[in-house]
Amino acid sequence: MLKKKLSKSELTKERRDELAKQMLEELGQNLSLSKKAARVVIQRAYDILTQQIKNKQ
Amino acid sequence: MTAASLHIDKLEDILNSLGFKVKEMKVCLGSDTLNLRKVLNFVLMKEQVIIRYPGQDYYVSKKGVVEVFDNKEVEQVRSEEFPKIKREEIANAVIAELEQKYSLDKKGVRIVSQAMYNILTRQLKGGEKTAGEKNVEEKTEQV
Repeated sequence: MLKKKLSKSELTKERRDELAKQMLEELGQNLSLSKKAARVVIQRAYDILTQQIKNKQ
Repeated sequence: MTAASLHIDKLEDILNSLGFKVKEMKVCLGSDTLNLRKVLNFVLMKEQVIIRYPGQDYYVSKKGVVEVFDNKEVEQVRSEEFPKIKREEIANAVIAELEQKYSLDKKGVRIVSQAMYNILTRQLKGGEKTAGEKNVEEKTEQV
């Protein structure tokens, strides 16, 4: 059976921050990005997701 | 070739030996000699390499394209010079990772990416909370 995906409302603030820190660590380690460059990437990810969510609605 | 210096032509040989096919090199250094001690590091980014050198970043991909960016902040890839294609690629990889590895839906991924953005902004600002974070906290309190 497919595992149900967690939605925005099911994510606690703590879990969200924990995941965010974990991903940022991975980004820094795997890609050697500066904080500014990582922020640009994250901003782009946010925009892509906003577009995808809009298109779905 | 001495240990201390490397002629610009040799850079191509080194890149070739690393498996990168250099089709074109746009080099605009004042000198045609690269000081090895100043070639800070080779940063492997999956299939790309950024060679950081004071003044310039050499962006090399296996497709054979070499781009050179002005690089005033030597030790960091500057966000405004970060190639748009690369940015898009990594952004999509981050989304896929969050969706799959952490089983999040799109809205879940978006809120995590917002948290990532806030963390970075806070770090860049030196610990201060961002306007977005304050807003989220207010909303959370209301709920």
